[in-house]
Amino acid sequence: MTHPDVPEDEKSVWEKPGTLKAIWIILIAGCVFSAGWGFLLAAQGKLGYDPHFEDKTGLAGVLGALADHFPAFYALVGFVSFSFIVLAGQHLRKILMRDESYYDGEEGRS
Amino acid sequence: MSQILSPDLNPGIILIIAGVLLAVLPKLFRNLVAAGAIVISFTHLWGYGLPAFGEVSLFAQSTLMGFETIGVRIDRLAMIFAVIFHIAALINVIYGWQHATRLEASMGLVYAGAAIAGALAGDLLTLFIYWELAALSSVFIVWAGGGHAAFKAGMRYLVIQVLSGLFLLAGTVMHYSDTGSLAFNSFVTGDGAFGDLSSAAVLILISFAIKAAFPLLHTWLQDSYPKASAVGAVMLSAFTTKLAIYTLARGFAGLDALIVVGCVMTAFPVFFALIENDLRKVLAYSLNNQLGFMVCAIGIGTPLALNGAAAHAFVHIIYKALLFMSMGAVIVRVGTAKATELGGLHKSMPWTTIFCIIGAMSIAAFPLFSGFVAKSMITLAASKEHILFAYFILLFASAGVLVHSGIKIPYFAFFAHDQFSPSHTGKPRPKEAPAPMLIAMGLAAFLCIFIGVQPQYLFALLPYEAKYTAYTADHIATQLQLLLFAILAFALLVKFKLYPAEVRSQNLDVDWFWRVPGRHLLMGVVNGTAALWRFVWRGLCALNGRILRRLYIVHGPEGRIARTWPVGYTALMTAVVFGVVLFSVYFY
Repeated sequence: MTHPDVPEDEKSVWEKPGTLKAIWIILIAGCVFSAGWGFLLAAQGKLGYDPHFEDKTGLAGVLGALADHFPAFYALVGFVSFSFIVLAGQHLRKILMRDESYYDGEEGRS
Repeated sequence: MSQILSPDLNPGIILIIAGVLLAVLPKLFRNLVAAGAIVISFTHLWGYGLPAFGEVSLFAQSTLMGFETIGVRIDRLAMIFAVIFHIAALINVIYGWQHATRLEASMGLVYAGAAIAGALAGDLLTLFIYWELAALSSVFIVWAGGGHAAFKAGMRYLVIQVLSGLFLLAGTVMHYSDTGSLAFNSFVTGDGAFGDLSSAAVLILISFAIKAAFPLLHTWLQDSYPKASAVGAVMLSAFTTKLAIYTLARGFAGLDALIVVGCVMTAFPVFFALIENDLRKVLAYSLNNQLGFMVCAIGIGTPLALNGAAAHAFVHIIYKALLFMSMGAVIVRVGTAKATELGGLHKSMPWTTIFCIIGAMSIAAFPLFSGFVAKSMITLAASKEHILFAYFILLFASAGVLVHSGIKIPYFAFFAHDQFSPSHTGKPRPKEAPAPMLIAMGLAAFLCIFIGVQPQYLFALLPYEAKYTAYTADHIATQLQLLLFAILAFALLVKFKLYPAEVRSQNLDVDWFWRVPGRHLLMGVVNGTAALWRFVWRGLCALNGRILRRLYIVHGPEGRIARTWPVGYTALMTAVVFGVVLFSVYFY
């Protein structure tokens, strides 16, 4: 189905450019705030207060140290994980995607 | 606390009896009786009192065909699951007040009762009975979805669920012959990855694994739940898998292999959910992903981890039901839950949108929502046990939750592209969800926030003693980082058109192996057997014909036996026989 262009008078506040701009600003501000809070806590010694992976060595040691001590580690995990899932995951369609009627015939389309 | 009903009466049985009654009652009485039965059953359950840590009370101990059974076991692990099953049952009744069919209302209550009774069962044989009752009652809910596809999915569901029951029965029999006991306690006896499990325990583990939708055994869930009705899918989402989580927590806590299984369970569904168009199927994959957190926690097996599994099961039942309810409301109003057909519904279904967003924020574990206070117990337990790979995968999966349930469900259903603009469709916009559905969603949404804000009430129910504080500065900061940066990634991917568009499709999963080549193989075996039988039958018929022809030749009207013999020949034969007899008598 194509997505129709919605007339201006039918747009909700969530579709107005001003609102979308505000959402972007709030989102970026939230990201800066949360990352900054992480650095602040680290400076106060309240982040990674109880290192959990200091016994690890090699790659695990590096990752463990990141988890325990890098103040923006969770920001990195969130951004990279989400991007990886979306960018890599969509290629699964090339292997797995079939027509809706594949299993259940026309009933599968409803 | 004193009880009016006998403590030997398993509270679940009240719901099972009421459920059977519902099948013959008119609609209004159905709802009232169902709600009343849940209140009575819950009051009865609460009458046992919340046990102290480690305290176990046994009731309804009897001998059945020579086996010692325990009808009711009350401890904190059983209690928390029985409590949340009651809450889920009540939400189901309210949600289906208007739309549940007679069959759904009746079997839904029996199903809830079986799950509660199973959670409170004190031995393996009693558990088996309720295990199978849950399977049998729930298949009617799948079938109530209507259509041939739902019927076929129900049949597949039934086969798999009954198979799980058979594994449980076989394991129980072997366990009894090994130990002489039907007691349902931990089967883990060693420290290895597989905990020195006996053969019986392995069979029981397979049974639980099927119902908990372990990887490769999971597809019954994605196959059947989206084919149930709007009301039925909500009923199904609560009980079967969480009963399995309860049994795993009781029988296999600390089994290291479950950590790996749980990690796989959390990770792989996020990719399938990403490319799925049917939003209820997305929720089914999301359910799988959430179960992974619980299984992983059970594998870790520390008191904190097991509390995390129980707490996560508790909150998960509520927010998953809320998400399924919001999609059910969309189906009731629009007729589909396919992302390609949806969008812009926030304009005419604002309450459903708000409730769905609350469910999404809860499952994504935003601070002040229920998922936040429960899920982090599991990740914290993984880090405290220094299990780095599990910790990383759980964090990865937490971002994955945001992909499928946190963003995809509300965004594509209620925002994205407006598909219901009256100027384009020529029809008025879909109406808001019916009042009973809104009330049920409102109740679930309230619980999501209440538990998130006041987690102490949930923590008071947890089964083990473990120190845990949900709201610490570093926990809030790190969780906000993870979620907000994941949302930033989503916003950037959409802005740069890198987020995949929804496509109408059927995506294959491992069930393809038995639904396509497996079916061909089975049909080949069936056809081969039929051909072999026809060949044998033709041979038998031919042989039979030959025998009959030969008999006819000898015994037929023209046969030698039927021939008339001359008198002389007869006299000669008589003389010969006499001669033989005389010789015999003379010489012997």
